[in-house]
Amino acid sequence: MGKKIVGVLKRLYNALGMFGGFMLAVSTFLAALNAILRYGFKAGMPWSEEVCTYLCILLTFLAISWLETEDRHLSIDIFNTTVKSEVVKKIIYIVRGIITLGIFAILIKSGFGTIKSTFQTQAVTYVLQIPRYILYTIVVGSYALFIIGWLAILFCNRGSKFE
Amino acid sequence: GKDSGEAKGQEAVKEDNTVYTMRIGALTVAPNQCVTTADEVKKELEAASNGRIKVQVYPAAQLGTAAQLLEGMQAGSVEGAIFPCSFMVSAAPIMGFVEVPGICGKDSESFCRILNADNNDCINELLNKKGLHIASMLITDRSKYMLTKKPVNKMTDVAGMKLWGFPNAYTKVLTEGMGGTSTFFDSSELSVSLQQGTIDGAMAAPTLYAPQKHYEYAKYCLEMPDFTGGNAFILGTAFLDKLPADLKDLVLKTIMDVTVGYEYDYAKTYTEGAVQTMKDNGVTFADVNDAFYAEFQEVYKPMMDIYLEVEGADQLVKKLQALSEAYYAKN
Amino acid sequence: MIAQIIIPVAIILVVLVGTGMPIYLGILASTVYLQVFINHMPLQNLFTGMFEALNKNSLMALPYFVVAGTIIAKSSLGRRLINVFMVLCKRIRGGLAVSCVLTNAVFGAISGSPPAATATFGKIIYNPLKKLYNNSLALGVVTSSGALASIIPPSMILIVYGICTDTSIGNLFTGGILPGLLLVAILCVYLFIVGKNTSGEKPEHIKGERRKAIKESIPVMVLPVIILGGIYGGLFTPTEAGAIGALYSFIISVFVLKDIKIKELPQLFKDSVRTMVQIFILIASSTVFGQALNISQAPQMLVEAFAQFNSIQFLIMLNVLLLIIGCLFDPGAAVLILAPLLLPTATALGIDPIHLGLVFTVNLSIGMFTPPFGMNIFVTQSVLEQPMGAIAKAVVPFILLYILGLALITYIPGLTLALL
Ligand code: NA
Ligand code: NA
Repeated sequence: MGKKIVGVLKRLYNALGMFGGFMLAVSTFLAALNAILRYGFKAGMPWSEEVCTYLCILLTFLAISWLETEDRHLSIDIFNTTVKSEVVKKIIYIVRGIITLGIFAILIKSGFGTIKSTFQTQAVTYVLQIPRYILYTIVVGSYALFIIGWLAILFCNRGSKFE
Repeated sequence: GKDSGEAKGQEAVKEDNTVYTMRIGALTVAPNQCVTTADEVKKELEAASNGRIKVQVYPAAQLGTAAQLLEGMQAGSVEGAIFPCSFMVSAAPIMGFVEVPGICGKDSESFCRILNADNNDCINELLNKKGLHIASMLITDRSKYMLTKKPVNKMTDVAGMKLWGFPNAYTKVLTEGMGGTSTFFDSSELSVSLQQGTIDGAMAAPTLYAPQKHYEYAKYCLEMPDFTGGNAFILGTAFLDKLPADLKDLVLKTIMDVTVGYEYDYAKTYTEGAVQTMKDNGVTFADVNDAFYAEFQEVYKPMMDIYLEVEGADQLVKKLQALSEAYYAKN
Repeated sequence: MIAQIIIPVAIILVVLVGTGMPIYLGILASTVYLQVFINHMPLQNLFTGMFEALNKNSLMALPYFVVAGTIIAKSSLGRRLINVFMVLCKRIRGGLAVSCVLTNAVFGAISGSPPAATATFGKIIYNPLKKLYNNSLALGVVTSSGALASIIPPSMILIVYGICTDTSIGNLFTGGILPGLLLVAILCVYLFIVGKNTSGEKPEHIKGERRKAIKESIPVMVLPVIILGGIYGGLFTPTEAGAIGALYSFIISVFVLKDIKIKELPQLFKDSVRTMVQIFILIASSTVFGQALNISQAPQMLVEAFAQFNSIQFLIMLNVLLLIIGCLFDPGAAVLILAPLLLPTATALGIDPIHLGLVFTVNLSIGMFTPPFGMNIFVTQSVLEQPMGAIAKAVVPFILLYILGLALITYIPGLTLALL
């Protein structure tokens, strides 16, 4: 059961990484196209800067759980190279997971508040008038996936990162 | 009986001693009018409240961007902010009336006094629903200047120009209406973009151009007709509702007094100083002639149309007109 | 009061990050501490703060240059570029390293983002440097050379300084020329000296090799022409230049040279996402951390202590303070907060505002590649997938060289002011 969940999640996070790559490709292409159109043909797309920026922001949050579950965020590796005991390493990793869950619980709670207020006020983005609560919902969703990832590490994967 | 009476008395005293912290965010640095006004409010309010309100002013977007400040005020994590109304438009589209030429009338100063005399009630009616409250407003005319690398004397001179402007839907319509292309990026990049010629010009105020020394790279400045610009001193209703009634009144009254008694004149002097600095550094200022003015009128029409689509906008425009008429009938 | 802020934050960072927690989470944990226990702020603005920190079009230069760098490194474009460098520089002692320093300085100068420069150029030049010299020298050169980008004008740090202290940006740029050249000179002398004792094999001279390498490099040499020409010719912003560079490399390597297959593309972009996300999430968390620290009034308290110093003490303490600040803060944010606070004291001590601006800039740039914290360090770690320990060791000689330059720039104001 645990293995199955880990397998499904692993595929999901990888897919998110892949989808992030797609978003990055679209963003890069749009930004280049906008520059070419504006300076080559004097017909820019003023909305494209906003689209490009939000694509990059959203893909950042969508991809953090992929990096987190594979433990590939930037870190300082002194501890893991000096401490030899696997037991100590595992305990530290589990403690780290608990702290991480706490931080992300705060982020999610704070995110819900923001979604609620931006939904009530119908706040929109500057240029394309995209409702901001939609953007924030995607971020909170990403945080939720992040939490699920750590719960799977702690309860389904015996406290080990996804390989 | 006695104990609880005493406890109640203590509670009342305790409530009296509550010190309320009021964090005010601004996007600019001193001597910009937003920051000096906030500093003035701090001075006056801390004295008038006998220390019951502690004001902290955070310039330079230290408390966050405009969007962050607005959401912070709605959530109650930030108490107040002062910045141009242009930045409020996306959170509260109704504020677009300051961006559209014509709505505030020809005499913005009187218009501003009319709104403030009314405590901005007709706007706050709509804004309070969004958790925001305008404590005071500063609306000035002569607010939008096109600073360009080449002279602009007629609409065809603008054709093909890449122009920077504050990010909102009105700027886009305005720029495209003039035949230019619109671009947005952080205002901190404006100097380099003008220097390198990535853009041909910008549409903002001398109070942005002068401190950032944009005159080093662009020497022509056109005053765009009929534009008004505004700063709003905004409070979160979450904060206002938390205050005891006497303090709430004091906060609102002090802010209004500072705006009327200090900000009006300071902003005028500061803007004039900025214009003078630009002139001293070789910038040529131009006015529009009649033919050019007529061309501008055509460009403005779609901006008004966009505004009137905003929920509650047509009623607000009517109310503002009624207020103006009442004012001019009296004076 | 200041101890209540600094000590717990330091403990949280050292303990969490030291035991292998991702750096951005260590920073977020410190932020939560500050907001809850010092600032008594609701935590709601943490969420919006992280989102808004990334909501700047100018930041997008980084992902676009990362994409360009990844494509160049994966296709034959990278090899072509390296070959021409190798062939042209092999007879000069330390030549490749010197050309790396110079190119990275120019590239970083125009891209506006030192980390973006490191991400692109560092990725391409690292392997040949390693081959010709050794791993440590290669890492040191790549990690430190991005710092030149902030010092040699045009420089974002100098622009922000000029705006917030009301100093002429033009004069600041002029003031930056000699200090920038001084640092380049110091680095070149050093590389000339250590370039002698390389373990790498001496490439032999092959007839016609030069011409062949130059001819093969044409498709990739077009790239700096497009990027530099486009920015200086006023065709596009540095951000757009990154995207154009990526699009150009993509078209050339996928459709013209055909050395990247379509089916390899998803993995290529996924690799770019990894690097970009590692850096972006750090930017997001250090921005909210900076805001929280600022609300705690810690910078203001630190600055008050500066009032008692004479001018030499002031400059020494400023160096120390800024080196530490440069580790944790975005240089722009650090200047925006500290420069207006410190300028009055400095002016009273007779320190020229232009000179102070350069001291700020050089200090903060060094902070960006001193371990364990610093954006350029993180970029190297991410792009080259090298352990922090190796990078930390590799940058030591370069930190010393920069500090030598910093001392000269700080204590000889004439260096900055001579051209004014
Ligand atoms: Na530079
Ligand atoms: Na550092």
